[in-house]
Amino acid sequence: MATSRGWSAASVVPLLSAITAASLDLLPLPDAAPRALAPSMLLGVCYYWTIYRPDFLPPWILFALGTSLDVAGGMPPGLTALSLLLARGRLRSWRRFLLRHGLVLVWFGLAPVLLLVGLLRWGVLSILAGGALPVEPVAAEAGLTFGIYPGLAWLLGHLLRRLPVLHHAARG
Amino acid sequence: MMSRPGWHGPRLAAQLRSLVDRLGLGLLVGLSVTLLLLGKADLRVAALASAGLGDVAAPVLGFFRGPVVAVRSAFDRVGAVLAVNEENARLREENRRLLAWQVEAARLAVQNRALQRMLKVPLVDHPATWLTARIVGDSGGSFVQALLLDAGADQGIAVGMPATTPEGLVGRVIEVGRRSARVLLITDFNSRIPVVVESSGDHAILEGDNSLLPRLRFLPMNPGFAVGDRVLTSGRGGVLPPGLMVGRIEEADNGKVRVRSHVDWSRLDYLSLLQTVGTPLPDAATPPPATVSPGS
Repeated sequence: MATSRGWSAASVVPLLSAITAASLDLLPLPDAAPRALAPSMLLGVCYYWTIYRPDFLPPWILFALGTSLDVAGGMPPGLTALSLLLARGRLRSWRRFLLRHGLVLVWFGLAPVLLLVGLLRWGVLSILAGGALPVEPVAAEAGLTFGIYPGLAWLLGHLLRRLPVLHHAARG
Repeated sequence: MMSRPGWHGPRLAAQLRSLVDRLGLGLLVGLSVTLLLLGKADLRVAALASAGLGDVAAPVLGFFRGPVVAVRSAFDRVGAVLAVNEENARLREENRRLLAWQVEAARLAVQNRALQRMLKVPLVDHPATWLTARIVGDSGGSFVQALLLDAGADQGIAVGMPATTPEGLVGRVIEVGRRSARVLLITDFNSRIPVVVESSGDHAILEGDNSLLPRLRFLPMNPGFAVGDRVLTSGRGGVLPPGLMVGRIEEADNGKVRVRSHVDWSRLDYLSLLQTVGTPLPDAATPPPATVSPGS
């Protein structure tokens, strides 16, 4: 049976998961020390849904989420939106290849995305700061995001399996 | 239904959809770049938008913060039970030190007042009031060191107010919405604070570089301080009121001087914001009464 690609109650689940991830990114950590490092939950969630159901996180939602995160977090507005959109653009050509080769390759496919996003953020912020900023925080954030991705994918995959509309559409 | 020979409708539709997706993506990428440039060029618009979104985000983040704080409190309680003897010994020693400082502070206050009377220093008493605000969010990035508070203009917070804890200066308010405010930490690479080394009187600028040890820049040629000396806000430029504790000099090697703050960054839940009446600029201040010089 062909699955409708229209919006349904289940189709807001990817959006809600992305909003939750953005909120978690903004929450103060228990150890709120300067340079306290944390993974980028929003990037991990957007990567997952872009691979499995890109139609439920279209570019305009990535733009809105990214811009909101920047403005709420005091970052230059447009930076996170640009990162998410460029990552999506890159993943368009890799997506089918990654899906054919299973979960592990999907996980490792995150690495070049993190590299692209990290270099972009570091570059733009260094230009705005008028000098090269330390690279270590970017590398650490990318490493943490890469490390937590399997857990994140497991959780989101659980959601994907429990929602028949999403699951059937993902097969196709 | 059999498809007609030569009918490429579904394929054409898919190609059109792909083209529209690409165009849409390209437009949004262009819009993001425009926002980046506009945000830099017109800071007022960006600040207004940021304050507005902070007003929306603060209550949401405050809601999510509850479980985070509860988990941390649970871990703290377990840790406290395990380390109760050590903590008691530490607290007894700290109490003994603080009582000694209390006596010394009272003696110095009396001495200070006597000296001011002798020098006929006009006593200008700025009544200081404090506001307390809860931290509900941070910057969410590795480069921006800023905190979001759940109080704003409606609660009396204004741009420029210093944010402190009992240990010392945390940062200052850079953006205020109606119900939220953003504090830039002293460690952020955008932070510049005029300070003075208490012992030697050397003035400098405390410059954040996103590390835990911000640097002292623009020091005099032959500074007279030593490692361990206290660093306070100097009040120069009217940026912050003078006398707020910043930290102690941690290292002074090869012309690089770094300061370690006493703030416990792992225990930041609430900040105290100082409402002060700023020192009037010379143009605005009333001129002193005319005096007759000794030579005339």
